[in-house]
Amino acid sequence: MGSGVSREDPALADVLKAALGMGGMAMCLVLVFRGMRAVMDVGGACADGGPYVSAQSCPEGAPVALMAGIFGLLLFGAISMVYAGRLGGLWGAAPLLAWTGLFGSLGWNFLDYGLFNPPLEADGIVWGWIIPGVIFEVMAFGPLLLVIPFIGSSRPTPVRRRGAAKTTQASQVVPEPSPAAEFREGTQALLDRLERLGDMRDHGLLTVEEFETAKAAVVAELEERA
Amino acid sequence: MTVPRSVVTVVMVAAAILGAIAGWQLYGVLGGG
Repeated sequence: MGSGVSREDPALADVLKAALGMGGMAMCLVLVFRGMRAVMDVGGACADGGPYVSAQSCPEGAPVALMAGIFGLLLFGAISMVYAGRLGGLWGAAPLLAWTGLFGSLGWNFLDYGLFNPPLEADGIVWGWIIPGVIFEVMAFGPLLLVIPFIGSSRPTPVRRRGAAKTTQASQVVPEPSPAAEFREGTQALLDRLERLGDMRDHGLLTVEEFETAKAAVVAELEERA
Repeated sequence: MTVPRSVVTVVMVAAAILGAIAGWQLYGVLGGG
């Protein structure tokens, strides 16, 4: 019964590695979130080094935090996708929540600075930040809202963990036999009947003529099925 | 050694929370406010 949809309890090593991936992604999300806010505090753009002198230097720590956060997300995302996938069930899709976490948090930054706490030099709300904020939030929660209705139906029902069948409805556990399975079972039953007839003849319970008559009936039925 | 699925949920949520706290602290270590 071991298959890709197995509901057996996962191995400890896989759980720990998946947790490392999930925790690492959360760490990187916070780094990007805070780095972005620091840059927005100084107007939304900054630069350091190179042949030109930027009018706005970057806040301390922000460039490293943003770079580490972005590339760390890729690294920890790969780790969590591999090992959470081995856990099966809904946990296989859990790392995709980082998409919602990333665009949801960055979108909030845009909305916060554009709508609720605009820079002092801005005259009222900043549409240049509100628009990307709305787009980010749609990107974050749109796919999630589309997927949620299918979460319950995506669970594999025929294969269940040990002992779970006792508490589940019979209609969920017993799969409906396919036409091919029904054909195999019917043919096997006829072959069994033929074997029993042979035994009865061997034990003197049937004469040769009676056996031949019964055998012809079974064979005819077998040919009919074929 | 296997882990019950209910424990997996606790481990994952705890990992995400600890990761977020670690990220917040790490930003301070990197020099950010």
